[in-house]
Amino acid sequence: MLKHTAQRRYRRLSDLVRPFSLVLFVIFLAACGGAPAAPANDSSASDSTTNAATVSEIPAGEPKLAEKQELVAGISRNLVNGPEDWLYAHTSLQVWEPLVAYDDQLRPQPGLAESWELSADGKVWTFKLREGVRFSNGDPLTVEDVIATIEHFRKLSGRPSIFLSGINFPEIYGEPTAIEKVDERTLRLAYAEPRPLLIYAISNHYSAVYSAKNFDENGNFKDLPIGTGRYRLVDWKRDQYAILERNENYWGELPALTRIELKIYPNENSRLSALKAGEIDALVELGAVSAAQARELRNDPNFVVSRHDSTCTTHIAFNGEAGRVFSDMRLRQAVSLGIDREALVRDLLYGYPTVAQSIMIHTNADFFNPSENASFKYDPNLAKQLVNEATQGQRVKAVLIFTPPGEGITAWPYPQMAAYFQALLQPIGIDLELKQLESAALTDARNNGEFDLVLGNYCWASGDPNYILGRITSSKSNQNVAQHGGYNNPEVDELLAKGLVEVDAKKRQEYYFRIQEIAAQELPIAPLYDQPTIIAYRPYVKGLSQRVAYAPTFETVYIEEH
Amino acid sequence: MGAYILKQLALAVPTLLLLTFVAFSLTTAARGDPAEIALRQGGNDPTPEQIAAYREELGLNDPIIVRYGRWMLGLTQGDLGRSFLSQREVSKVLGERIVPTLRLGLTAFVVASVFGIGLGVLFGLSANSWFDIVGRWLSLLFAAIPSFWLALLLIVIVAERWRLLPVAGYGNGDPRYMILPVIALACGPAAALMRVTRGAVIEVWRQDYVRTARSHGLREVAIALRHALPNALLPIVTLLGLRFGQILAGAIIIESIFAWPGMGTELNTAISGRDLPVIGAYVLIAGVSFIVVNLITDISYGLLDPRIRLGAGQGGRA
Amino acid sequence: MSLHESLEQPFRPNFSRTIRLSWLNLTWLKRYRALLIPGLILGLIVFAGLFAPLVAPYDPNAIDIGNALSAPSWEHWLGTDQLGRDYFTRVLYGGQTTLFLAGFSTLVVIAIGLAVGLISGYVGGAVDTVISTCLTVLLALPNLLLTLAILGILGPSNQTLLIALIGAGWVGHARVFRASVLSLREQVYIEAAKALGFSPWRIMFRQLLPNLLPTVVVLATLDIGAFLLLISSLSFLGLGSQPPAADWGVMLSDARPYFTQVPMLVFAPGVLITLVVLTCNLLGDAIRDLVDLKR
Repeated sequence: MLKHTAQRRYRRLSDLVRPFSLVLFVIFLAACGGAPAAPANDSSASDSTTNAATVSEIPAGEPKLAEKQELVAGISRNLVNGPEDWLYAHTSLQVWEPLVAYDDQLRPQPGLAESWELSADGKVWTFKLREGVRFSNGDPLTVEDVIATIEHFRKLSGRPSIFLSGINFPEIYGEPTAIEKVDERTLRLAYAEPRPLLIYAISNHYSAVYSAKNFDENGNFKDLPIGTGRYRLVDWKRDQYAILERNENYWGELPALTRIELKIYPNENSRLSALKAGEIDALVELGAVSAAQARELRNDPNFVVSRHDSTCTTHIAFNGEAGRVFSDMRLRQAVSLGIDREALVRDLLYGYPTVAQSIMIHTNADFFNPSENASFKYDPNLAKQLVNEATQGQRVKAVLIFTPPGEGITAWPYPQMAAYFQALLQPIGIDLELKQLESAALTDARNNGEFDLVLGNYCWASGDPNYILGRITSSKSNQNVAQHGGYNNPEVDELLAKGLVEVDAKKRQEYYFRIQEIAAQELPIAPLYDQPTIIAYRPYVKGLSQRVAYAPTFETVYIEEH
Repeated sequence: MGAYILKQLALAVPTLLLLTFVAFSLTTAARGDPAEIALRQGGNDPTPEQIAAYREELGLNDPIIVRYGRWMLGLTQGDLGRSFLSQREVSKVLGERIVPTLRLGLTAFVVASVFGIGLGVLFGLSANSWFDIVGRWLSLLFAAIPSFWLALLLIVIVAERWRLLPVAGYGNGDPRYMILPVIALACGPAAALMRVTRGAVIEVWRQDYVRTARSHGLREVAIALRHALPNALLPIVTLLGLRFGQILAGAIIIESIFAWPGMGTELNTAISGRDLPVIGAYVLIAGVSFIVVNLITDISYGLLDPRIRLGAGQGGRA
Repeated sequence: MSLHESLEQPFRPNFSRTIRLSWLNLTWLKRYRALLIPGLILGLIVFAGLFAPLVAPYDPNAIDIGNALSAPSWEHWLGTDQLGRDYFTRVLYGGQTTLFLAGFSTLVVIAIGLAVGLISGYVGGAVDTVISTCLTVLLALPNLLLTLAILGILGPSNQTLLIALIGAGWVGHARVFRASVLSLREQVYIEAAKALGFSPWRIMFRQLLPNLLPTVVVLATLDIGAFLLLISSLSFLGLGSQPPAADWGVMLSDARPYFTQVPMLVFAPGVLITLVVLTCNLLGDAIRDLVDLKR
């Protein structure tokens, strides 16, 4: 009886409550289900529909330029690192220009120096500055500015930099006995020893030039950077955006784009989503689009996907210390022979990378050895035979370490690759144990020698052949000593030493060719593929490409009416 | 009550000391040399000498207690130190991150509380009606969807396909950029709150004193407001306190999916980069905010349930 | 009935009696209706996970790279992943890992939380001050942050994930249980039991524990869900299972780039996580309702 009345009252209350609840409930549904919840949506919705309509109907015939020549592009990382960083802004932004640039074959090209000369003994470099160059603030470029920037680098040597080309001044510039002004247009660097490779080493990043007025007494930048490039940095926020405006004082031909907004999306999926949603016009720069994403986009008429060579190579490095399995050259060869690089590139990376053809990246035209002898083969039978020989029929157990599928510029599917290698090497007698370690733990494991194989990559900051070859093959290199690579071949050491001071270009090339042939045989590392930079953009963006040297070609871009 | 708050505040100081020390030691015990990691950023290959020099510069060779002491000393002067990775002042690094995180976190917290408690009370009061049943199922569903998966679906469907809202990023404070992350972050806690609130309301509604009140003919709304709700609030408040932490923590994942430039993404970078000063400062800030939230929770206990005499230890009647 | 027993009687949910009665008169079907469907679904998923080696049609790590990313078919019910591995098989094995991790951590976490909460809440005084201060300190670190820190030190793997989850998870529970005990402690019957001179242990185990049981059951079922969500989040961030093995979180993060091309790769693990959490929550509700019925 009591229960009955209670229930009736219950119902009465719920009647009262229901209208309120319905309202709240609808809002909740809207919030959770993603229906429009704010009035602000309407404008964006209509914006994007008009956008979509015009994209699908690109007018035939003569292209019409859009009224506003502005580009919004997505990138994977901070390209501006602020006044504490030695470079402030990355080369991609074209805020500064280098004394010596390089082309897509990593060959030195005139930059702010229109010509240079090396003395016969290889000890004195003389650079002639271009005439009529002005900084973005209107000041003319002087030799003093160049010297100030080099001194700035020297001062900050050893300070960490977020950019690929962190400074290690002695490695790049050696120990110059003089950095001096000869006349208003001439700069001289003098050395006690021959330094013929300087021109390669300093090309691009390491010869960036900023106005001498830019630096404070600690070597930090005062205020925004002042360079001679096509663009000025006008605003930026870490991890969010960088805004560039055309430098109207530029000494050369003015580019079409007047404003570039670079938005940062560290996560590769957010990046692609932003492109699809029409928040950005293009995805550019290192690691912009992954192979898997390119595979999805390439059949979509709303986007253009293009691949470009880069300066990076993915490889397997060994723990080659005495006593470890891969100190045996035959087992290193077995790993290299057992991995089907063609299939890896074709089936897992959808054809975007280039199969590695030497320990030297193929884009480095002056020093890449195209010979068969410097290349790698796939021969599982021979691999199996080598394992048998080395171990008398025993199976080899090895630990392969690698980082998780990363964000930013290392976005290669390492876990899948590792699983694939495990499957490939199992039949030839090598059992891989896979260990995924975040990058700090991976470095630690490498330093402690807690690995047999590691998936890694190298990027060339310049065409200087010594830059990476030295790191890989020198018996004294960090990789071979501290990181347990253990590779030691006196002949290679000697060739490296000779290459460093050889003034004759032909002979120098021979030394480095020889190193690549030895490396293909002895495998200090096993390169897998040369990485591409894959970019994607909307069809109305014209003339966009990506240089080997990291930078997107903003200067040739124009926007069609859309 | 005043004495209780004072006591809790006094406790906060050693708590924070212990907390930051634990954080300091944890990060020291973590694999990897902070100096080397900082120098290796972006694929650099520093020499052992450079690493050693940077270690020395960062003072990493000193014993942990010395480093902790130095950090504390700096703290008393309002100096949180410099980031190992970027060389920037930590107060600057986190200062520019705290606003986005607070915006996202607090909005999600308010949204979750309003919807969770509001709907929970209504469902509880109209228990077993069709409306309650549908609501219950939906709340169950939303409590069960992983937030990162929901985020993924929202991005692909709402932002990419329908183009209703921006995909990711901060958009310089444009509120439209906040809608999807808030939904992804708030749905789970809101649904959980709704469940608990509903349960608590039903529970209280069955209690003898409510029945008595009802049988004495008090108006139902009055009963609901005066008796049922305050009592039902006790478990809800506990949960709210916990949900606040859940939301802050969940922000670490959601921020990374939505490229939200908050403390979560900064913490991710700092943890993987072993950036001790940044981690220490983050823990300090998180610790302070949690202590404040816990204090508020405790105080509201006292206000809601006078039977719990705060600070009286064993309780008066024992 | 002695005074003692009558004191205890109304507050003890009597599962055994309910069940015995129900089996006799077949109303059990009606009574446990709410348990039936979620129970069956969860049972099926758990069974498939437990006996994955028997149920699964393929080797989870068998790579067939030429047949990668194929659509669902008779040979491959859920298609294949980017390495050509059978996705149905991998979902089953992934479930095995995920469910084990979630279940095990729940059990341990509840046990620790209950013990600490009971002692702290009931004993009170200095013990409570110490424990609750420790709890405050630990709670001040967000759960996920603590988990991340532990994972960072020990390196990611399933074992360390378990340690991290348990290490970070019990704190919140201890606090909840402590709060409940704090509230229960002031109830008349506990006061009465104290007045009768019952030993603290007896009060904790015979009066407090049974009263906490509904909370325990509800929290446990909620917990399995919460842990499942946390585990998959962490795996999604790359801190869980190591390749070539995969749990649902890892599978989701691996499948992300293929979402629009092969949606199944993203849907299958996501739907399963949701389903398991949902059924757990439903079971929790149903159990709580059953327990409540006895009052």
